[in-house]
Amino acid sequence: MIDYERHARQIALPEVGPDGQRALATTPVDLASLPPIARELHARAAGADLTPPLSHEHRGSGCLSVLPGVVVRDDVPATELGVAAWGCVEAARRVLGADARPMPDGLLARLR
Amino acid sequence: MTVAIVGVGGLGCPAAWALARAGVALRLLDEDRVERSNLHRQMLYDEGDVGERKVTAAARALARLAPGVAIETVAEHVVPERALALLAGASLVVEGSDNLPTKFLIADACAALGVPVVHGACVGWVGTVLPVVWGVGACYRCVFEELPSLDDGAGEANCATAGVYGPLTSVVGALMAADALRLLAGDTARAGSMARYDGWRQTFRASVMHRRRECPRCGADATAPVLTAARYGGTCAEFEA
Repeated sequence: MIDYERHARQIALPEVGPDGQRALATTPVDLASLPPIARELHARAAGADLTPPLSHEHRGSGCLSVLPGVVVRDDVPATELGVAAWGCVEAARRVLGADARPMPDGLLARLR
Repeated sequence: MTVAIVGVGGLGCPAAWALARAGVALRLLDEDRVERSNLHRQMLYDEGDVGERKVTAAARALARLAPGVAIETVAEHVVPERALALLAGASLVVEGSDNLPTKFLIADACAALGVPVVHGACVGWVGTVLPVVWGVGACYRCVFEELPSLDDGAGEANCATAGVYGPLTSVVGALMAADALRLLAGDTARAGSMARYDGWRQTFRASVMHRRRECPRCGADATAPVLTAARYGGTCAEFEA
């Protein structure tokens, strides 16, 4: 089930729609390489009560892995949050069928 | 040192999250209450906060995240007649409203007060950030000049009508916080540099905006703004991003 009220503004996006929102809610996504706040951001966007557990069991079993190897300075909250949120956007793109893209040049520097 | 955050919505929430965790005292300004349609992107609120004033729920969440950081709450919309009083004393303003009248009002009020301001905007998969330091780089009116007429369709494309992907607002809010922290530290190198992030295309661009000689706020013949409702289309009621 989709929570249309909660996710209305995402469903309004042509790239998402009801089918995309359903895919976001049901596709396992590995966000382990991102700052911990990424899990909360993704859960909010995908559907908090619907998101499959983002656990080790899902890794390597067809789930999407985002951003291996990026190092975030935990002492800079803006950087931590920005990288986490970028990873969630990239994860959504892939769930929705777009090609994988790296973090764009300049974004990380501006977050610092 | 206090940062005033105008609009505790999709942009204000992540900016407040990052600034409070960096130890910055905040003044939160927003009259709205939490709605369920906010929850997919406004990271300081949960189901239990629905119906409550955003500033109250946000202050409670920030107190848990950053104990000891001073959080002041103002449950008011920033209207022209009150703008100077509500922003007075702030070291910097973070502007995350989603309507043009409010953006122009905050730009003008900050010009009158001489306070640096970081503007943010977000719709669909795209967000922009413009940090402004008066006399150093371009200001909001250097870039966008005049408030468009509502007859021209101004304000039609916001996240309420065009949608927005939740975490995208946190990327933009984080960029706003990063720019704010730089300015608070005295680093003005980014003043007038507009950042634009497109989440769907995964592109990022930072462009230096040029000051306009004719700018009414920072140009050669700049004048103090008169903040009246008529000048800003009569209303500045919506703050959500």
